[in-house]
Amino acid sequence: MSFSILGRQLINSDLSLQPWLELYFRFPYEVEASHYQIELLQKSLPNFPHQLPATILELPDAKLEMRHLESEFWFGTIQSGMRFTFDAGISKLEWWGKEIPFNALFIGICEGLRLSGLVSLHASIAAKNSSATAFLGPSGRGKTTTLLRASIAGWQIVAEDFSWLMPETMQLYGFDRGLRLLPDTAKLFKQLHQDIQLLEMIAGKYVVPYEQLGVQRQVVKLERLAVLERNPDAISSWKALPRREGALALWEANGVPFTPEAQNFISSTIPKLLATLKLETLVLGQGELPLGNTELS
Amino acid sequence: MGGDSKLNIMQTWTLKPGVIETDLDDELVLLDPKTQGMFSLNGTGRVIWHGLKNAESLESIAQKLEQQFTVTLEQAQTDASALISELEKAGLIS
Repeated sequence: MSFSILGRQLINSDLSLQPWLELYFRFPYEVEASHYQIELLQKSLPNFPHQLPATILELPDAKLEMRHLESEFWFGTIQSGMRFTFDAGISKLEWWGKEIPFNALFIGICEGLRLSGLVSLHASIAAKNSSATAFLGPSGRGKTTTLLRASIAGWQIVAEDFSWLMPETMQLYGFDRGLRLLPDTAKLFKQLHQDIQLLEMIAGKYVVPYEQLGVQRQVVKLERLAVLERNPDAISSWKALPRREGALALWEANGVPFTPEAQNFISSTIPKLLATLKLETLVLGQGELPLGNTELS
Repeated sequence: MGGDSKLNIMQTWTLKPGVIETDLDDELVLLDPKTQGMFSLNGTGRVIWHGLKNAESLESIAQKLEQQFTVTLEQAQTDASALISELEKAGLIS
């Protein structure tokens, strides 16, 4: 069982994993095939390196142990976990346990995609005329609300939370399937879409599939970073973003990879992105957001 | 830069493992992934940082600054001491 993730081949040998893989990683983008492979293998109980000190990764809804031995990265525990190794052109994820280690597998697949030359963005993305802006900021800063306001102003929604960027072409591919709305944001959403019932709630957020909103999946060119800044005393406005702030925002949006090789890749790619993109701060302050007259020059 | 002239000129420092560099040409951005702390270095700071990476002493770093910039050795030591103290406070070196 295999499928392409933006031209990279994902190879899976376990049927029980397939629905989850397809939900998070199978999107119908037509991209030229690369030789890169990400291989998932289910293993019996491994020779787990208990003796190594563990780093605790703080995930949004869980904690995950990581151990590092030369070029091997171990995630989870002997009961349920994953060993990540890589070589030229391939990342291997060997996993075990009665409980599938979904968090470890997600982290491992994303690392493989970074090692293959992609940059991930935890950001809300909206586009005008196929030219996209990434709204960046930590959780709770207002990314989804800004995305909704951009939608009201006539922008197209590309991604609410997660996307992958090909740095050579600056083409951006949304990798989520709908809006996830906190109750506050849901109030704004209801003003926009009175006909849509907010029923399904996951992890404290209402989920609205893009199909329900008529959002068309599209490939866009990333042209601007907009770091969100809350300032209730200021007028809502755009202002220039220093490059060092842009660098930090991109590191936060991509996450810090766990392999030195992927860290080096992201580290060398960020300056190129900053040289290409328009860098701005969008001040979320008093008055309407200035989203109506923001054509990129 | 206000200097901390009490540093031993023969002292060397150890970089915190895992600190990530992003080179923006006119500045070098250091990121500590554990704290998300960020530190931006200008041209002088870049020379000091590379000296620290090579386990050079304060004296050696100051000599490089004197050679590459229009500063006296004393001023170079003062400037390097000040930045090194800031990097220590930020936990990027010890």
